[in-house]
Amino acid sequence: MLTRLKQLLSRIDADYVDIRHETKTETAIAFSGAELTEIGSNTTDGFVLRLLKNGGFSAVSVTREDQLDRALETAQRNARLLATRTDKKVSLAATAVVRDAIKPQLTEDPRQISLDEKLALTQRYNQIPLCEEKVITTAISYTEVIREKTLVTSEGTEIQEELVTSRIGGGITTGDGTSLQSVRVGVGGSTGFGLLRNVDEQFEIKTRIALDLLQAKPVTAGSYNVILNPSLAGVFTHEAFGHFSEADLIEDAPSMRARMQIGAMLGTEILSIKDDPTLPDQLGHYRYDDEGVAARPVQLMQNGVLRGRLHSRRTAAAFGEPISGHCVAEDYRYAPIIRMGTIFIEPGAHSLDDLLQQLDNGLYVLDAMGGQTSGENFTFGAQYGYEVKNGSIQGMVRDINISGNLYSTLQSIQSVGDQVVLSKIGGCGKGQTNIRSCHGAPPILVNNVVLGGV
Amino acid sequence: MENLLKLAAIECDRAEVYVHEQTSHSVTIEDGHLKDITSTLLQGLSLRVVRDGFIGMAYTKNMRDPELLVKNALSALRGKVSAPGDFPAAGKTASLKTWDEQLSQAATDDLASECDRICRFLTSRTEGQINIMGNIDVTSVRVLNTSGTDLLQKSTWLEISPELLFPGGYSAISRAHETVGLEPVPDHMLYGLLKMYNCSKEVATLSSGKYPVIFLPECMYTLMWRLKSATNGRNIYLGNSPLGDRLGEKIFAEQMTISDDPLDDRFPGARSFDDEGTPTQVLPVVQDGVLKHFHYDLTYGHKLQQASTGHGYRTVMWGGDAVTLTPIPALQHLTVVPGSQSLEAMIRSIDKGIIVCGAMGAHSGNIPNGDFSIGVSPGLLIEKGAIAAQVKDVMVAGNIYDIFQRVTAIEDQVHPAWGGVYPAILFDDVSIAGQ
Repeated sequence: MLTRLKQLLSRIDADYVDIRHETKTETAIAFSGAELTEIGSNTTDGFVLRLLKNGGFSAVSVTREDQLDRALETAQRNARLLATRTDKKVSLAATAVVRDAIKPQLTEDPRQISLDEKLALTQRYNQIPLCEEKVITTAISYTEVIREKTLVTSEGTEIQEELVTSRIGGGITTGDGTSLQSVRVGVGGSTGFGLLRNVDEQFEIKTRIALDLLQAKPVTAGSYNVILNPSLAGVFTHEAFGHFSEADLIEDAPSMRARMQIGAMLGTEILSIKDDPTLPDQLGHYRYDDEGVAARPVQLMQNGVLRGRLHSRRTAAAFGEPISGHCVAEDYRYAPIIRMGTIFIEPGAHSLDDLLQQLDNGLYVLDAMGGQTSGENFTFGAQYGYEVKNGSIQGMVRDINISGNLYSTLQSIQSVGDQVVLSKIGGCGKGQTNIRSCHGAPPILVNNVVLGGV
Repeated sequence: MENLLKLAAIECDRAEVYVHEQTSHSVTIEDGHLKDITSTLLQGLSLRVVRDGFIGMAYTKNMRDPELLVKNALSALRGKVSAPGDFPAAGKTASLKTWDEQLSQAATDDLASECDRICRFLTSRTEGQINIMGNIDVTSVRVLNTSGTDLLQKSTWLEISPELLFPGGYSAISRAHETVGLEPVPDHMLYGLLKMYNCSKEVATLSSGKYPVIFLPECMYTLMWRLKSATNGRNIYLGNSPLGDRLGEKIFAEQMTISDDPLDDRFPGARSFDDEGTPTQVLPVVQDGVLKHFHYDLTYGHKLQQASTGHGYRTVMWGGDAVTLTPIPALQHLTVVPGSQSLEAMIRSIDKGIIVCGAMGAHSGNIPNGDFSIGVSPGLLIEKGAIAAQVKDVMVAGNIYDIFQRVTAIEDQVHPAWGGVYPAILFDDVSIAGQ
């Protein structure tokens, strides 16, 4: 493939061009309740071609090799159109020319595990909730995605990198005739099938929580002081802050860009946030992004001060800031865009007990149930929570959805715990789905958070 | 494709081929500047085979090796996934206007020119930030099976969504212009956006309480996702719906009539058959407040001894890559029968309340139960019958079976929006969590 791509590259007249070919193998096993509804494995491939000419930069995705010429003509026409119609000429920040081939270190390569064994393991975990009388249904599935990427650029870069992602997870729904309650469960990561073994306890814990939710009290709408557990604090970090560390999202949003200046004091002094795709063994790990730039850690916030930003080559040049290696595509259907790798709040000095004592009265809310942002405002759901009275955890509450303002929330973080937990499964949907999106945090104490109730 | 079907039929009892081809061009204007032009040329096909009562599926994007595709589909049979009944025989399908030759040939130049015209129109009339997304999709869907069905639907779809952004991020007043042909965005739509934006530049706070709330079509999906979930044949089968035993009962206010109408070709996306080759039909979901029908695909119709209602689509919550997905029951063309009031009259009738123009977190919360709890993005404050300001940091929450009992007005026209064609709806006494 490398030779074919280089031949194609050699006949393109452009200031810069890259071609990514990607083979994607997906294995899926899905249960609806006790019934198996899907099983199988498929491999397919496609190309993404990006072309820069006279300051116009355009991308075309194509799935059939016999349409590559048409794709090339389309990319040339689009780049020409951009060059003639825009006053913002694109340039790309310099990056090292790389020739490399990367294969992940796996505890067990899922390709070596039979489909029958994968089915048996998924079925075993699915049976854990289904043994309970009040479990109405489950939607538990096994998903394995193997991306074999080859990137060549007109600058001479040639990179082959393989990413292996596997997980078992889904939802558990309970009911008692008056309400339906559901929780999410998931295990997985980037280091092979071994991660999926012997995790029955995860499914047992979440089954218990789904059952307990039937007796939980709906939360009353209002403003609360809350402790967010690592899952929720991680979602906050990703949704509310992280997306606006992505340069493409603020590049043409003047009011956001004015606030997100490097050196601006945005958070409390106890708050430091980093994105690091180089962290080994984590879901968000990769060596090179889909522009061929080596991934590197970026200190986004240090003691409340904005220190860095996530970039593509295009935005790094536009902002005059260092490249970071964060331009990633979902697969062969997409041109890469700026994505977080592994974003997390760095640990503070306090145990969870310390945070509960500091909270005194409020809520302890746990586990993410989806989130969204529209700039300075964000919303995310929690799967469950507990009332906290006099520093002690009391009864369970449910129907927790949180809304807030990024800047005021960053200023309202009162305390940061000492144990960081990073997510094992991901699914950020910024135009494309990033199943390797990894986030985390220690528990954090935040004042004056608005909860919607029902 | 016929040969693939024959190849598959040699080794199985029944087979179906689904072919999806799409060429798309998109133009992005951000902050009044042309930012990006991208194109995609994507093809793919999916093969489903049935043998001994079990079904297997495989897909490819490159059509390179039909024998491997058949082999993959056959190997999936060992999972013993129960097959639905027969694939549909060739049936009569409606003739719909889904194709425009001119749009099918349109280039990114045409799209960029229209987006540029809209940008200049808006720039001369507001100082607000202008973003515009323009998209042309040229799509063909073909379904053929061993029961004799061979259906092809070609469609063109122009979507242009101008947005006027409030300072602070991506909270915006927006509306989608969706047509089958290359039709310019009408001035009255742009004037409507400008009027709403220009009277809501101030920022106000709102204290917690119960208020009248207007949901615009752009955020109606928040409520409709809950109804879709509850009437989905799969959830009925799994017992994961509060409506499982309530057919024929009144669940909403009398003025609510909600149907799924795939045959409405006033807007793009109309379908004469679903992704399993079943001819589509208009399906009343709620009529005069009474729950009328659930919706089924072949699989869940078979499990519940019902015929498919023509709602087997290869989709997931946010869309998905059709050829890689198995069909599930899905309402793709929901519409609400309009009422008798203009949006302006609905606003005039409110002493103090809000308009939800966009929703954040519609996918969170207890969807099966009908609960929602969303951040507004943006919300507009109405005071004494007029839009007074935008409101921030508030959440709107409730349960659809509760608030649809308190519908006080429905707009007199519908607008295409995510997942359907809706009017604005005014609800009374909706819970708002504010400062």
